[in-house]
Amino acid sequence: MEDLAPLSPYRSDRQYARLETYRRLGLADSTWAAEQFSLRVHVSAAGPPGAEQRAGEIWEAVDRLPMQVKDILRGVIDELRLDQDPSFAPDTLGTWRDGTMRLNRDWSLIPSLSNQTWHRDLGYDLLRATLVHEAGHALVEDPRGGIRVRDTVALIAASGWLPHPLDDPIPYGPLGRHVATLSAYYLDRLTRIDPSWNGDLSLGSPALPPPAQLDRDLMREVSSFKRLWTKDRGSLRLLGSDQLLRRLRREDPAMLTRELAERGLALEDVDSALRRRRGISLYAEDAISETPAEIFRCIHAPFSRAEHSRPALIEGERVLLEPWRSSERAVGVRRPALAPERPWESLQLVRRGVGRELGR
Amino acid sequence: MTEKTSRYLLRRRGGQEQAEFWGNPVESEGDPALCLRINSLLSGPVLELGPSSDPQTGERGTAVRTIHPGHPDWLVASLRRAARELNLDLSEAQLDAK
Repeated sequence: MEDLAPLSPYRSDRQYARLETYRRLGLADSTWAAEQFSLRVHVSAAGPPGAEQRAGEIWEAVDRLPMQVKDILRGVIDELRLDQDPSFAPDTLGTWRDGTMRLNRDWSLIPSLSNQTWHRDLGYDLLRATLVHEAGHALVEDPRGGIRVRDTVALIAASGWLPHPLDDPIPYGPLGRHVATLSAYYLDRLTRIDPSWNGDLSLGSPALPPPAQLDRDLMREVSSFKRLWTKDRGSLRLLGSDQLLRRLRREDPAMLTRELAERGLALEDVDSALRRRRGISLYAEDAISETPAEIFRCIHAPFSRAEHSRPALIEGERVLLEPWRSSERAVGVRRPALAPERPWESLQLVRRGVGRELGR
Repeated sequence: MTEKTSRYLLRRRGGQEQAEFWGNPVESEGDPALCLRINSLLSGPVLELGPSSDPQTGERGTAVRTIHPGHPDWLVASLRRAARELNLDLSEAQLDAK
């Protein structure tokens, strides 16, 4: 089997220079992207005018991303493409797949964003959220790195995914009180469905089934799209806590209480289990394969201290951030570079009298 | 069998004020000043991120959708936004309540 990259393959010895510095020196944004992130850039010229301006907005958003997300862009994204709207599924802002991040350059064609004068700040917030979420997929699923299946399942357990208590009462008992025991139980059941879900392999490993199959094997309700692309072979039939609460509220309380009692549970057991860990966003509760990337996005969102105390985000810190921090602690905190790392060209610029920009 | 709507409780962190919201149209009870502040943020559609997938290529991504008042997700999406803006704790009322 190939050697998998460790979880923190993104730490680079190179220092980071800001976009503003390149612009002041008259260097192209694409030069900045290539030098700072080793990114190939493709901007589609087709479609409405304004592609270059849009590209500029995207680079400004990239420049403001947290350092870890920048490391992911540098480490596991080979190409960033600004493609035109028709090449995307409806309403799509951006995608990631195996080294390529694609952003839809024509957001004004997206119905939700076309019929209102949405503020530039909202555009920035959506763009940042898209970049961080898709970078989260790259961190979790990239074939060259990724996180272990065992840790992925821990994120899912910490995010409140549970079976209907009449389908499987075990997570509502003592085993469900701790993320570690609940995730070990889920992983055991998952490997019974398919032994190739090896908990010690990285989620991006080619030896594992694809991430869409994770939804099929774990979730109670998967989209028709995923049913089309994946095999049907049994499932843990997990539901997001909000969906499950809604479903339980529709049931007859007397009958539910009686049927729970037959399984050794009381309504209060179910209620407290549902409340113990909750989903972090509607996006995270939409699909299990989206949950880790959404946890990553929420960790990097300006949430309050109280929100960061939620189990999903605590587990996310452990799985998604701590290895990167450990790596940084081992090497030492970086300082931003004063200048683009182009000694020869910098020298030319100094000769042309713009050396002050370089702080020299 | 009676269908119950989800009831959401918002609480001021470190304080006593709390308010409960439910239903469509939205009803509320609790601290009047808090209800007023929250109600002022519960109007119009909400933009939410969600998954997208291309049926031809299998490519997955992030999509944006508008959740209009009346949609099952609208109240929780609006309350999550309000809780963030007002720094409140949001939870659901008890499973067996009301």
